[in-house]
Amino acid sequence: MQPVDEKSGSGLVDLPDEELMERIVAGNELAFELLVKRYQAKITNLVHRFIYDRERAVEIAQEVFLRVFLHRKRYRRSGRFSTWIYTIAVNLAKNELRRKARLRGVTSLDGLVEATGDSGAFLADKQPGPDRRAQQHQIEETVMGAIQQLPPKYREVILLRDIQQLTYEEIEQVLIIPGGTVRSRINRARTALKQILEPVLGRREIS
Amino acid sequence: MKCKAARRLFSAYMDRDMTFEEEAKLRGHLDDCPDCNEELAKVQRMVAMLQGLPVVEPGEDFYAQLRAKLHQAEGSERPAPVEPVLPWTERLRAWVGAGSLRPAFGGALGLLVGLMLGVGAPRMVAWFDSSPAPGPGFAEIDGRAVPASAAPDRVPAFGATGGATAVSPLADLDLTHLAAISDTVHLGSEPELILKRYVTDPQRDLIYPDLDYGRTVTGGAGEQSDVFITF
Repeated sequence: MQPVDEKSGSGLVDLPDEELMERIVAGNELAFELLVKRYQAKITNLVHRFIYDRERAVEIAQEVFLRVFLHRKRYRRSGRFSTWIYTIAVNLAKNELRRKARLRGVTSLDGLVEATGDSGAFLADKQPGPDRRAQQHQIEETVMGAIQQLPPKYREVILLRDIQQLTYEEIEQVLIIPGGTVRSRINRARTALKQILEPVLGRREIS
Repeated sequence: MKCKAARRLFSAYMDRDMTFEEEAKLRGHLDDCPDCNEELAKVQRMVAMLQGLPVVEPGEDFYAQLRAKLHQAEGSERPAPVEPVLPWTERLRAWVGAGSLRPAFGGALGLLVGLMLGVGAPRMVAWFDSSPAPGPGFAEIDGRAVPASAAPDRVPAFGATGGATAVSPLADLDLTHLAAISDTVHLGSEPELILKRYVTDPQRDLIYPDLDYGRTVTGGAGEQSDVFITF
């Protein structure tokens, strides 16, 4: 690993997240930029999957990094940086769901899911497209639509596990729930999503 | 092993998070059960679909935009409050007891807070009792000494500021060490009130900024059991 030159910033790129955070706390903006670039796609994608709104997802991802910077002194080395930032991202994504729920006059997150209507309706309209690309786009829309039908507590575990590829232990840390709950919730979330996607999962050609 | 029990183990099986004994039992069941085999295959296909979702690009100007927001936010950061921060529990008590909350809302809130405190850890009681002794600058709420500024007549009531946005008396407290969250209760929708119960754990030493609308408030550190309100 290249030694770090604190003045020029060379060697920073090889540092683990936690050491970059130490430098961010000390006011090193280059370290912050590197950390943002390391996580910007992961966080944007996580939020996008959560709320299915690309433009808002980018705004919320920026809010996540803003909070990381503004609250940088609250970060403790004893916890992994990735867990910390995912916790912030999931909380802000859930806030967005609540905000949307309030706009619709729905008072709880689970109510938002109920308000979105028949879980199978969006699947019924989708017929196979004429080419592979159209078909891929259709699959994406179908899967994303199905994710939005999940209650938030299922949505968060399935996104962290199956899209962000976090371990069970990491999910436990991010969501601050016991390991046994993580395990049972992941299984229930997958079962629930499978039921929503049942009409397309039976068709092997799209797997 | 029955199908229901087998299907509960699907995720652990896919994620290799099971004991040898559990795996042997599940495999034994799968050998004899075509239905569960098909179900497992569907879950595996679904996970493959999730993992195959295209990646959203955040945009080349992501950092430039963020940097502009950061400088704006840093420039508008509020200075630290001049008044000393009161024990949040006393603010909560004063706020709930102010009597100027909307009746149904306040009643439900008081009941909930009471319930949550009632089932809280016994340690919390001791913590409550550690309020400052009566003296200059202190008032009394329910027989206990609290800073005078926490007395009900000085606590801004929620939703009672003549059209201006009411500020919770709890709103300027800092978040400290949190490690577990349970029980979220939603009361009403405008504005939404969320009661949460956090249990702190110094071993984990995790800190989570502003978990919900506006600010998340907390009090105490170490091993206290706390109740929080967020807006």
